[in-house]
Amino acid sequence: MSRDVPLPETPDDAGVVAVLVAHDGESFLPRTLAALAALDPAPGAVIAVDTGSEDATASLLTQAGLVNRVMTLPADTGFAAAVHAGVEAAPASGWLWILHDDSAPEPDALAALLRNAADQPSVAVWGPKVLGWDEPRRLLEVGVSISRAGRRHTGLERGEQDQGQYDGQRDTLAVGSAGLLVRRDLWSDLGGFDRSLPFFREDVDFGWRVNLAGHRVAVASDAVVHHAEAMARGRRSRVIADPHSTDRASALYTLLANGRGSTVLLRWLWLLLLTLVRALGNVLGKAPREAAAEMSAVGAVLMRPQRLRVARRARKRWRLVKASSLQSLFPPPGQQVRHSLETLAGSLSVETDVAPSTILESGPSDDDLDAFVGTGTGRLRSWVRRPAVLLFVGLVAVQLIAWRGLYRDGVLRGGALLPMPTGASDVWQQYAAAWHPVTMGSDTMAHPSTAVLGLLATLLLGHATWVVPTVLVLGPPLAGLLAYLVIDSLGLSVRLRVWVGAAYALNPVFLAATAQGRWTTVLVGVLVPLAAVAAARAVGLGGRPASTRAAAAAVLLIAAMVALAPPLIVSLAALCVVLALLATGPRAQLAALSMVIGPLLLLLPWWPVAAADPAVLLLEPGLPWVGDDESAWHAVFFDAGGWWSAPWWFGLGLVVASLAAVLRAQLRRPVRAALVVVGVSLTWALVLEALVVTPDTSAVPVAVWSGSVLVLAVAAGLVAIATAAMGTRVRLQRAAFTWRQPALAVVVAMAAVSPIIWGVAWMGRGATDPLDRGGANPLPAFVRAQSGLPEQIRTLVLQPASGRLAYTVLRSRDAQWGDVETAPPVDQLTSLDRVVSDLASGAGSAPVDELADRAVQYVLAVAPVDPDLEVALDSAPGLLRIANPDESSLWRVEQPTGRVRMLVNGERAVLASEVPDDPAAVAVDVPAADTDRLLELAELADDGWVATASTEAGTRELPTSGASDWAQRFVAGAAPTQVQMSVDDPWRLVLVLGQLLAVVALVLIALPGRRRVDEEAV
Amino acid sequence: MSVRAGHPWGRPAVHLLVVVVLVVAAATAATVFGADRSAPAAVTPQLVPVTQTTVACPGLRSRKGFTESAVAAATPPEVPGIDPNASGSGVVRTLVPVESKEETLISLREPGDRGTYIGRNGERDLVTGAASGALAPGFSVTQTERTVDGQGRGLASTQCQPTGTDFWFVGPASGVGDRAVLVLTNPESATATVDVTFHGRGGLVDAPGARGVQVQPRTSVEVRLDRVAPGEKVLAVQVQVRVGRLTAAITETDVFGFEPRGTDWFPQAVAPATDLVVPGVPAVNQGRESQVHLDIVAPEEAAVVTLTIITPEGSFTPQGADVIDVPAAGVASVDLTEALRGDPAAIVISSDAPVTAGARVELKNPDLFGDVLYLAAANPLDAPAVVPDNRTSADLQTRLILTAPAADATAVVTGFAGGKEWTAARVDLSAGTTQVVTVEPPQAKGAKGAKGNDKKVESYGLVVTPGGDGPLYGVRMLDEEGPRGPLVTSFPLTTARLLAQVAEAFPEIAVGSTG
Repeated sequence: MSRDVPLPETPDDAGVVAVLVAHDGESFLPRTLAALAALDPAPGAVIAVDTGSEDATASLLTQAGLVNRVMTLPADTGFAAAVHAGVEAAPASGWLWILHDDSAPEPDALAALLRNAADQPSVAVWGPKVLGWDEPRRLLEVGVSISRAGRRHTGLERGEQDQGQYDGQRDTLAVGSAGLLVRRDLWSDLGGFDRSLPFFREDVDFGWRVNLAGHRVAVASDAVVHHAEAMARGRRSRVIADPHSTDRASALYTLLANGRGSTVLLRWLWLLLLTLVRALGNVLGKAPREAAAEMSAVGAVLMRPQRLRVARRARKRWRLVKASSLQSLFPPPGQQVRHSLETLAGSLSVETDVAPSTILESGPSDDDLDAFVGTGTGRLRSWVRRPAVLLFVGLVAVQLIAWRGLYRDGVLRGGALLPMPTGASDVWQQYAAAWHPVTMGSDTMAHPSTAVLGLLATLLLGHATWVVPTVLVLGPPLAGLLAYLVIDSLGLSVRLRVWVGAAYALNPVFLAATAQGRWTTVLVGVLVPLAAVAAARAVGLGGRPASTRAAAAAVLLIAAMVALAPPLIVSLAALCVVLALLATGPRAQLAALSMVIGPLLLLLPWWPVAAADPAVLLLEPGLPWVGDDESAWHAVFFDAGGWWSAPWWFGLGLVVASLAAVLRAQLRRPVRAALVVVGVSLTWALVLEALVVTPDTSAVPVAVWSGSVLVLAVAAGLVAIATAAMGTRVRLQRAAFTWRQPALAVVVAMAAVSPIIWGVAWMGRGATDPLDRGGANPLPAFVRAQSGLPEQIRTLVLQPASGRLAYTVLRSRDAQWGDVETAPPVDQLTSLDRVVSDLASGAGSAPVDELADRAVQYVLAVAPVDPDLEVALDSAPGLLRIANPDESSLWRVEQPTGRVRMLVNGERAVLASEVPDDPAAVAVDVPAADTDRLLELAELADDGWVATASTEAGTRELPTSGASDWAQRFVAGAAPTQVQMSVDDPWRLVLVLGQLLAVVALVLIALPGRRRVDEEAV
Repeated sequence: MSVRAGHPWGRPAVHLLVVVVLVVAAATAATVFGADRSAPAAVTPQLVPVTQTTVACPGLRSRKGFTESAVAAATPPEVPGIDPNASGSGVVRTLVPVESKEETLISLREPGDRGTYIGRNGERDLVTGAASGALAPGFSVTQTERTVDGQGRGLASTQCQPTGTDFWFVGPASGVGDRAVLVLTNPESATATVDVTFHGRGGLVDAPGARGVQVQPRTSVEVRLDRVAPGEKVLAVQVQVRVGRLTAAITETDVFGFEPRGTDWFPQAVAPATDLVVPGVPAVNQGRESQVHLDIVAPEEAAVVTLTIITPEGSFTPQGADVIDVPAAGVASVDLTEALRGDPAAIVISSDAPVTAGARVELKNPDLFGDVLYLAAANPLDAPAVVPDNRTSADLQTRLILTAPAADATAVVTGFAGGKEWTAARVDLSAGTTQVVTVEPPQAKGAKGAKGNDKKVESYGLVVTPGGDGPLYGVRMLDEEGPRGPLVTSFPLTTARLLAQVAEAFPEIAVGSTG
């Protein structure tokens, strides 16, 4: 059936036989065959191997007239087997040249290879420079290697263009099989491609073996082959059922078969672990098929040691060179991490989608200045010199200088910040708890920011105390970096982007928020650029289709922002509605609406709290800010006020430049959009700045903090300014000189100098005050220790506050983050207010019994102690001053007390709890008595409390007693029992679990999927 | 930027104008209509009458046959805001380790009531006073001892104090012939632990025996200064209570050989400060061999002190004693006998570092015995002072030495006894002057007292109500011209606990993270 061109009669030892393997290649073959025909010199013979093509391949091969022989093999023949078949059929020759049906050599390719071979006899295998099929300048290969993880490594950047940067001869581990020229005797000696590798990696394996056998493998860049890489890129009709799995299996096989003998076991373990991790990553990346492929590769290779033993034994024969001498041919470790980071950075652009690596490539880089990247230190240097890196490092330096007053031991606190819980588990416990040990106890659901805190603490290896310093120090630089990366999509110059990044990181709101310990505001600022990109992609701005993935990410990010700063919900919802109105297409509108509704649903567990007390919607978590002497109009200048904020004129440059941007709003859509965001945010910030609210948990009116809303305005303002400024200079240079040029110069100078002023002022002032590090533990150590005992006693802490007396009741720990939001409503504490007031009045009627009722064993007046208060407490009968720790004074209530007390016939007895220090549960043994007893639990009465008595007869629920005006009481019978009291809220648990599930689901949707088709090459 | 033709609203400049107007309007609206967010003004706490007052006396010390000891208790007749018909109790009891064995000495029945207990039989009892209800406001107890002959001859008086945790006394001595005793009285039901610190002329005095002194409940401990810190001409004593609470007092009895030089209690000096007033230096007959010494202690750092003397004629800076250097942690003494020229006075102290001060006044007739009285830096009188035990007879006078150092002040002195009230004196002090007021005794009783036995003294209560613009300082002095020489004593007028501030209490989480 073949019309072969006759083979040359005389075998030519110096000659070349080309082996062309083809399969369903009709779309490539014409060009390939034409290239073969154009070769000068042409190979001595061309053997074509067709593995069961179903299209016109066979006829194309035979009709071409330059193929000496066409062999037809079954369709399931592997690539290695096909080459072997071709070689066996070939006449004797000095060299073998292997070609694919989709690889077209340039006319002088063979000549160049042979020329190099003649010059360098020690090189047994030569490879060409492989360029793209459709993009003839795009570099695909100049030799290949394999990473420790089995990834094919070319050493090239993604999409790198050939500018001669790799020209010359280079020794490599291997060369790709397209255009591979090998000495035929060596081929025969080494057994050619390993038949165990039907597809993929046979070239790497072969090159590795050649190297180990003491021969060299090199690339001659003057030989050029254009390669479509049809198989790897999935452009070829399916040859094998599962290319990914085959590739992974081949990679593992290659690594284990050729790797150093002494480390093979270790390597096996490492690859097993790695494969499992990759499989997990694929599951998260919504690529279950790839995950299955990873796992099947494990089954195919790692779990079949016999196959590996055979392969290793076979290789042992030829091994002449120590494996360690080939070290330089492998990619350096850490390469992968760098590539991953670059991929991550690339994902922040509105236009380019996340570019996960294909099988063949390992990472893109979108930054402007890295076109000419060398190797080794040069690469590092150029990486360091990138503006993004310089910007980030510079901003971190500014932060570290400003932070100088806080490099010491102690708890971070001050301003709005309370000390953090110790561990992530404490935070999660607080989030899910049904009862909070704050003053007299409350069942208020924890603030949603607690969940964000818990997430961060978990990411920081469970160190909740690291969250705030990390956010406050690295947050602003990170926000600046993100802003720099995100606005790349707007086509701004690097200089403008750097300005935006610096200005955003050092904006007055961040400065004020940092000094006031408002980590929530800073974190919101970090999330703003991310949320903006996600929202833009979700509705399909920038010319891309609306993305569900981005919508999920946007929902998550907006929910996190609202959780951190509930007042944002108004401005964000308004913006999302505007977005929905402007969006084109129902899908985009749906995405925009989901960004309003999604976060609302995600925060479902908290809505009962907000419904009961809407004031909390206007307040960010943290200590309330009381007393604001600043006028509301300061908000226009991005001055949020608070304990400390930069002077209002710090924002002048930004405001003037934003107004100037209005002039360009008509021309540029991004300017208009950004100004709308500024308008919405500023309006809402002004409203907030004019408000004062009293939430149920606060006894004093709280001035609302508008910082997080202003951060949004700052971000949008910077975008508007930068976008409006684009190309202004050129335009004005062309225009006639009028008043406009000097006016603009002033505006530009004001805007340009603003971040410098902010940074210098910030470094000069420092982050300290009111933020501070130091003692935040009023409880003396022995009192704290005693609070942990089964009686679970408490301490009343007093501090005079401008004619009034502030107090709190501490249990076994000091006040910490989250207590403000979970405190019981103040109107439930009025009886305690009266008790404290009487106690401290010095009038003499010290209600010490009432303190004992509330399990208060100690009274602590914290420094500076008011002398009147001291006299009053000193003279209170039943109170005994026992110590003066530090500057404060401590008194003890001279009667025993505890959390659970038994009331019988007017006598009170303290019962020790068997459950150690659990806010939501106690268990006590109630001794026998003549009459019914009342059990009084020193917690605010709540329906959630249930007492169960267990006797030998069984268990029963105890009835509650309404006799106390505040305490939770139960009626116990006369018989001795064991009583369990606990508060349960199954609904809360359901809501929190539902929230968790929703977050996990959204994360899974939002995670980048693995791409299966190469998009650029199409 | 090309000007676009067409609708004027299309012009960028118009846009800008509209935006600016909108921003200014919004900012103005927010500023004008916004809520007042400034901090709530400081609240003046509500004042209510006290409902419980407890004091402890350092103990009666009497020598059988020679000493007449009197404990007197009183509540003022009228306290604004309190119902005189309301019930209450005011009792003075002995303080003994077993509570059930205590003995009631005085029991008051109604506001304005007063009572005296006289012990002549060599008792030595601890005494406490407790009042509640309507009798609590202004409940005041004093003890007065009069020893007519022998060692310890002199008049001594002190006001019984509520328990506290930090006390200063300036002026006792532990040299030869100075018998100073620190009395620590613990009326509470728990043991108290006390650290006593001594400052001498050369700085801190090492007194290991005065560290960690334990005072058992319902007992007192006497610490003889010549044992724990001997040989000091002048001492400043700080008593710091580490655990529990108690009262502290120092008494000193001076002898010169066998010659009694007098006895008295040291009043408590105020805590160290940079501006002080030591009121109550009595008029001293210049012919007598009398002396006035001022002692100043600077507990922390060295101080440079300037003095101003306020006499009835006005104030002046004493020559030669206008600037005094007080060494760090040491006591400086200055002899003001010459500078005072016998005038009654108050001494105003101004310092660059915290100091506190006391004064010793020795009155002596040539050829006769003398007596001492001790003064201390005092607090001004903010509200009425109540003094339960005052006497007037042919030889014995009750005087008030009042000083208005800064601004004009007035004082109304009301006497009360046996259900009667009378105005004993009205004083107008111009700024920077001192006045000595001899208190008018009750008419009827005074006449009767004059007729009867000279030794039989009638006692009455006084309420000194301050008024006017400036602070008022003062002491109550008793002085008797005895046949064997003068007898004197005095103590500062202290503000009675009539009303207490009731501060509104509110829960505040931030309190739990301070300190």
